[in-house]
Amino acid sequence: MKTTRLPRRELLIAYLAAAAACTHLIEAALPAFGPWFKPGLANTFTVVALYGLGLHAAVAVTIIRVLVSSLLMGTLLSPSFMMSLSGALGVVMAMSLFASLRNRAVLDSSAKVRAAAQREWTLGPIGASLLCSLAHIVMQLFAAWLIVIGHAGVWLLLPWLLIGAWLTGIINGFLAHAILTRTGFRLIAEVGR
Amino acid sequence: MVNVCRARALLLTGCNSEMWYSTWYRAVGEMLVIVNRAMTALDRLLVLLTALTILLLVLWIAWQPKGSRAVVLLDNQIVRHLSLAEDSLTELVGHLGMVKIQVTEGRIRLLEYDSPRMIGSKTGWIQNRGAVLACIPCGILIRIDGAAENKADDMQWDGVAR
Repeated sequence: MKTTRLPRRELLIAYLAAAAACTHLIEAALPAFGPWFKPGLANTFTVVALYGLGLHAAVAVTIIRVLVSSLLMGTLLSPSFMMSLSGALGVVMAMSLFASLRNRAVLDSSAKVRAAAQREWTLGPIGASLLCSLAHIVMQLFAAWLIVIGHAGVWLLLPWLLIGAWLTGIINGFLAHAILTRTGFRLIAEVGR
Repeated sequence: MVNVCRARALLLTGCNSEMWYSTWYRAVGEMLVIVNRAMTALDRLLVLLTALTILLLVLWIAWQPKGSRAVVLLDNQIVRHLSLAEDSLTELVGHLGMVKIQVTEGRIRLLEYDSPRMIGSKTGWIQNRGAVLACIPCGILIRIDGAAENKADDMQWDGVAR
């Protein structure tokens, strides 16, 4: 196989953060989903970073994404920024909790290795993304309760929000899986070490 | 994957509704198979467990008994008690001017005239015990109570207000 020069780890983090920030901006401009529901596609890139480059890179991508997109939208330090930052913090907390359960062998090129890895009790991108999106919404609601509303009645919204988070978590995880298996992120994982 | 492509091709080239349904069905099934193949054992367990938990939470919320009385709070102080048994239309002055509170057939809703996001009006009707309607900019919050715990609850809220 012909060897190509791969971008360095920092550069890849920057690429992923830029992609995530763009997705965040595009999503913010979409009116169709209402105030309570967002597809959260930006988290796809967090999961890609988590599996391709490791926990630190994923945390960097998440935080840079929130800062950059709020700077571009002009909402830095406003309540909506606080909400998205708290969501990001929830994702970071969840990721650091289950980081040791990750399994990169699920993305291996050989089908045999993949099949063996899938029988183990480890997390693939879909499970990781699901946990991230649930943590995101719970943390965001917690922030809404603390900062904006201050009434325990907000928690009655939780089940409805969780339905959306469950769906988008699985879809984003699948997208991350597709990106990781199809764009040579296995090679990036080698660089990332 | 082949089936997904075939479904898309059929949709583009045009086909009758029966064909459309069968291909649509098959495409969704194919997608589910692809997603399932990408999951590990723990992923599957997590997906099932979280789905069950969410289902239980939703059922728990939906099965809350209907309330008999609504408490209206302005700036966290009780200003009005409304019985849900009789229909009524109450006017109240909040921070952003007049709002209307309408009770019909055991349900209650808040109608604002001027509020940045009109969340109170958009929430629509509420009727279950514990449900809340709020217009944060107006400073108005409506909460539905059952009948039994009224006395103790009021005492507590009055205590907080003082």
